[in-house]
Amino acid sequence: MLSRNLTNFRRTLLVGIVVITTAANTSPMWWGLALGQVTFALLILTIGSYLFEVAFYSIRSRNE
Amino acid sequence: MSKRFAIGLTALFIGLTVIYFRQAIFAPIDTWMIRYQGSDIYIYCIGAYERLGMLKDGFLPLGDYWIPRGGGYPATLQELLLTPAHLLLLGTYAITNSFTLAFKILYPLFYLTTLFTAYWYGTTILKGKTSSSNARYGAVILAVTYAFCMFGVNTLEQLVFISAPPLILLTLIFLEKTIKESRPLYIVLTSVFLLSVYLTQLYPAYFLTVFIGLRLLLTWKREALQSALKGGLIFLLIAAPVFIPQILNMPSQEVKDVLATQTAALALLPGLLFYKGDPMAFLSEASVAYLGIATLALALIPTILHRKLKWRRTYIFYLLVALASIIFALGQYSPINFALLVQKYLPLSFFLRAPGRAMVIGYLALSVCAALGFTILIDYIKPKYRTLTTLAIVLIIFTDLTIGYEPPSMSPPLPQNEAYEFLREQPGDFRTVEMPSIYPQMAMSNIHTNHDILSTYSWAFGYFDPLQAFANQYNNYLDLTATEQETAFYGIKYILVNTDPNYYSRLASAITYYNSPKLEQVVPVADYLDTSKDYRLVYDKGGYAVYENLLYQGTVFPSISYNWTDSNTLEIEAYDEEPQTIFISQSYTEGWIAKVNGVQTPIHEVNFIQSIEVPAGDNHIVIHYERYESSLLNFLAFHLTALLIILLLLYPKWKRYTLPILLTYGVGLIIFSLTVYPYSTPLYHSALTYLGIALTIGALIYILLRRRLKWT
Repeated sequence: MLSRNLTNFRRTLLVGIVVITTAANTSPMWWGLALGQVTFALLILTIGSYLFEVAFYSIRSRNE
Repeated sequence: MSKRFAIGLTALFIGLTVIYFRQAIFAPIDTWMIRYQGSDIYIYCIGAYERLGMLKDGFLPLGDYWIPRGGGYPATLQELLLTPAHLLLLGTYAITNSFTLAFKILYPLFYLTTLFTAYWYGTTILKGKTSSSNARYGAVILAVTYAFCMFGVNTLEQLVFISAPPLILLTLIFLEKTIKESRPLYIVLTSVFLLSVYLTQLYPAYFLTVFIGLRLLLTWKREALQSALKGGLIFLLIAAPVFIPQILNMPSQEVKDVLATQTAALALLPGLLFYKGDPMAFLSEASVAYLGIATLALALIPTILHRKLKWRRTYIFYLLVALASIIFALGQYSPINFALLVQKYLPLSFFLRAPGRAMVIGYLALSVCAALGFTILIDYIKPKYRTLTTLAIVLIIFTDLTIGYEPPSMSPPLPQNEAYEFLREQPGDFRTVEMPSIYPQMAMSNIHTNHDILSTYSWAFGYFDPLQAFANQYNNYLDLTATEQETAFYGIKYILVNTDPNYYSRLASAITYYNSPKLEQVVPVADYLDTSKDYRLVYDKGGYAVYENLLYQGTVFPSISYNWTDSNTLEIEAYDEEPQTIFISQSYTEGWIAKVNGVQTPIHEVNFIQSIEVPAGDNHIVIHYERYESSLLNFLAFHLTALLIILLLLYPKWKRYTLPILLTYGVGLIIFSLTVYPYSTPLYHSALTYLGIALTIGALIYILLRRRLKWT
């Protein structure tokens, strides 16, 4: 259940990254940079949630 | 690989390279492939030019570019012919006789090599993780993503950086092969390619070493670790003569501080990873690190479709490497200043003043993630459409990464100008002050006039204290009042003043960026020189004026006859009834040795230049840059040792003779460097001595350890 939720969460984030990066590159200078900063946060969230999930399940399977 | 696939792949790679370099290739030959007027590219040119000149004189060009004209620059072995990229530039320039053409040949060549080696690396990693045809498609994605990443365009002015990616990839390919099967050939090739990266540039070498360490930790296979240890030992043994003098000649604390403060300017803003704006608008150094929408999407796909993946461990490893590189590259703009931590606590890392360059590994790791992601996606496509899909994705990635950022072409900072022709024709040795002079211009004027040009841009002196102090002393040469004597003291015969308004308007942005004097600052200098009694106007045309310093007597003074025997040797004939002091207007630096009538005499420093005390009567003085010979011997010893070790490793029959051979060779080197050595070099400058010591101690430790193991 947790895994499915996290995967859905990351799917949304990935769509967000693609959309915002596209928007950033079609925006004026400072807007582009600001949107880029937002994408950075999304990227960290995506990778972070993936690593969390992998760590969580590997610990659980080891305990079992 | 089928013949059809090979032809298609080659056509694709060549096609993409030509499209990428189109602006540069189809521009006039004498245009430069740079984004901004101030570029390090010219510094490589002057290095190659000097070396080639020395080769023509019958000398092996082992000196750095300030040495021949008596500048005295602390050469490191890395700056010498050992650097693969320098050697290539020298060779291409020797054939084409044009630097712009040489770069237009070399750069596309480096890109093509990167594409093919990245493809090879891709197939090496993806082997066994997916079907062989899918692995090939993944490798194509990796190649295109890595070759056309922003790293190249950010370091367009850095010849050595552009040449690093193929060498990095070759090191990693043979590392992977060693991990799978530890054959001596693979071990040797890994260490040789690692060495070539190390000789190319310290940044990629540093990041690559860390990457290799992590890769081995991930594997944790006994044989792999053992062979890596062997490879590492071979690397250290061969690299010792380069490495040890370099550590011992580390820059002073002051220079380290300069390097540390510059870090602030050369990190990346996180936003620039996702936004392809004009970097000059945000930061001082060109640094867009755009990762690419298509690349990012592909690289993150395994985080969504990750269940039942066989290669999840590999993916997580590359994802973590990419993340760590990005965090490092962001420096002070990152939530954790990882770069500062590394710089502070890891040995020999203080030189990493541009954390953004960690992206050389960051992009590679991300490209591997994208390739892995693509191999998942391609499974959803019907086999007969897979080639077409890959091609479409390649084109999307290529357009996404490169559009608007192709290597441009730009005309040189200085057009063919008669004032420089005038200076070129003047006899004798002298220096010229060029005013104004944006950073790269000095290098090109040097080549053009064939004489030392001193620039207002002191950074160009490469942190070499005397010349930098010299520039500061003159307040960037703008404050020339009451300094005619000093100007002559520093060997300056001519001052070139440029008041051509076209120059200032054409180079306005570069003048601002490099804080070069503006027209209104230069005009008063010309007015002053016009009225000064000690200066004579010798050339005046089209806004360019050349003034001669009437107090200039020559490189050696007071008025004495002298002669440059070769670029590294100065002979002086001096006669006086009383003992006297001779001044030589070249920077005081270690490595110069003076002999008065065959007796070695100390050289003193007077206001950063050299002076010698000579006795009364007739004197024959020889001043020689003795590091010339030491670098020549080091160069030969370095290659001989590498060859010896490689041969011993590759021929198992010789194995039992290995230790006696290395021991004899090591002892021989020590005896040679201590007795036959032509000049009394300080020990730490002689890499030869170190090589001998390293080999001898290494062999002895090995013998002792083996005996001890036998007893127990």
